[in-house]
Amino acid sequence: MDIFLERLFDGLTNGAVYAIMALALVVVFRSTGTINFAQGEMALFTTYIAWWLTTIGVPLWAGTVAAAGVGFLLGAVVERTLIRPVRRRSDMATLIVALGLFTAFNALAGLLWNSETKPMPSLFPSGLKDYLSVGGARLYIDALGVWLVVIALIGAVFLLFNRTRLGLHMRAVAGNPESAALSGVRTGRILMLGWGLAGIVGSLAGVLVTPLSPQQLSLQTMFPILIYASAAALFGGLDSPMGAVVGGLVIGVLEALITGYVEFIGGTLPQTAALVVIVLILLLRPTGLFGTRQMERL
Amino acid sequence: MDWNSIFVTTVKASIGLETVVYALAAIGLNVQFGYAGLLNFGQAAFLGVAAYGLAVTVATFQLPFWLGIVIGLAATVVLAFLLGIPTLRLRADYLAIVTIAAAEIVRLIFRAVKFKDVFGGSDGLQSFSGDFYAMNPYAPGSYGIGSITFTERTMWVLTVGWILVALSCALVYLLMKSPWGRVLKAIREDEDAVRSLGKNVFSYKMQALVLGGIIGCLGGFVFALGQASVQPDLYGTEFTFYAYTIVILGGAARVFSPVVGAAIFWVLLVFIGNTLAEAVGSGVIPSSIMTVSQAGSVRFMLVGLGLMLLLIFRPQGIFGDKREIALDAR
Repeated sequence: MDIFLERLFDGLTNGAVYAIMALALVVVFRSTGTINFAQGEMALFTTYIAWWLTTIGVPLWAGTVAAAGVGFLLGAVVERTLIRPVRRRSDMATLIVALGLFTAFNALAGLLWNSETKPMPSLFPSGLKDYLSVGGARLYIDALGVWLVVIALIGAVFLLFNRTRLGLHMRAVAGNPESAALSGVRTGRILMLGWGLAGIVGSLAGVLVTPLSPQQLSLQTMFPILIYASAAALFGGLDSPMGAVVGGLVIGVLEALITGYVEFIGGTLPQTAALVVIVLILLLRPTGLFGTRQMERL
Repeated sequence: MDWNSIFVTTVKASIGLETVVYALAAIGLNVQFGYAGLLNFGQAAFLGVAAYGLAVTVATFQLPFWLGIVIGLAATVVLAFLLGIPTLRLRADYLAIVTIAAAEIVRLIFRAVKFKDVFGGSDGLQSFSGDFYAMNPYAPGSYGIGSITFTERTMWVLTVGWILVALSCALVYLLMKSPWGRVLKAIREDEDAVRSLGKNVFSYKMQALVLGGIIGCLGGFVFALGQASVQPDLYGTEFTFYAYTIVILGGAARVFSPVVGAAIFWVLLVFIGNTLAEAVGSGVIPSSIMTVSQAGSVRFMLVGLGLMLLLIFRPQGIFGDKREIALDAR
């Protein structure tokens, strides 16, 4: 039972990070209409910034804030300069630009900070003894910290969407850009802010997830996270923030339980399980759990 | 700086192994993306399963060479079906996300410690190309003009490779002139219209995905045989990304553009890489600004930037027709 609980905690922690990464994907999808494949590598780049700041003596929390700021700027600048000129043409051009960004950001991080793995400190106490005992199982403090940050972040995003003028505009642009523009919403600015917001969320995901995994910060850190997050976003229905959060948690827990209880899969293969989840969702219910129906239309 | 060696390696690159491999990958991608409008972000996986199909059959299980080729082809077709069946009825994004994830997972499985006995882990597999080089009609020696020479082994690989490129181009040319090709292009333009004319859109897309995968898989064979080894990390996302850059550079939906695109792309890449490396090595660029290993990353970044600028300013590429590309739908 306590082993089950520990695996559940592990799964919820990873799942919480997948959830916010999926949330970033959903925010971009709702505004731009495509999946941003480069979200993971943009987060990788900002995570390197946070790591680099810690090496020159800046405390990690300040580095995290800086990373989030850079994430916002990157997202906004990328949308304005690279996505907007091709977006009007077709979704395909947008997706290919995202593929270009994927490679370019990975190469940029490699160029600036070489390809060796870096030890990434954690925002929270992460020693082997920093745990609470819950029903005989160990709940580590850093896991608890991740949960709290993620809950706060998701709360903030929901408040933004549902309680502020900016959020209303974002939802209007996502729903129908033309009507929104005709009602005086500055759609261009809203799209830019949407990408910036996704950049912040993605950056936080990067800083939170890197110290959790046994492998430290490297150029390959974020791609698997992106795969899990895409599975989570698809699971929830690509255009639903609520779905992204539920999807992330489900995928995280499933991953932990499968890796724990199915001997054959362990090691590097849980990503295969995530892909199987993606494929099954697409086969059985392409709109996901909470997605709107028009998604199926081509 | 040694301009002569830069010149020689650049000329060799224009007809060398990488150009052949990427040309084949790009011809396949052009069928999928250029003509049918399918966003296959996992072309690397098609080459990977073909190369590993051959290498595992011969090196791990000691079976005949031609059986390895058959198994490589079969693995490619199976992969195309696995990726296509769940996604081809849905939006373009879904094929993209499934293929990019599948390609990464295929790479991880190839390099997994658990399967080291079969796939050889991160070192990959060697010693499966003996039968191929035993068929080499060129006598030992070096062939070429001036200082641009190839060994008899390279000559044999390049001969086979360029014949495959020519055959693939001929096949694509004939297919796209046929009613089949016209249906494919119509699907790219307006899927619903084609469906309302009674065509089975899903089946056509699947055929395009399989055909593109098979042409790409020939590239996988040439790559594996040319290097006489397979390594998992050669088949990463950047491979697919290079192939896209080549298709878009040449111009999508043109028969020869992937070939010309591949040659130009590799010449540029090798030229930039060599020039930077030479400049760093001879001290023209001080090592405080850039080291040799960083020069490799600079190449990547320039390619990424180049692709994005192409998409923004010249989406039809060098030879493309603006009226006939999926990138300019609206």
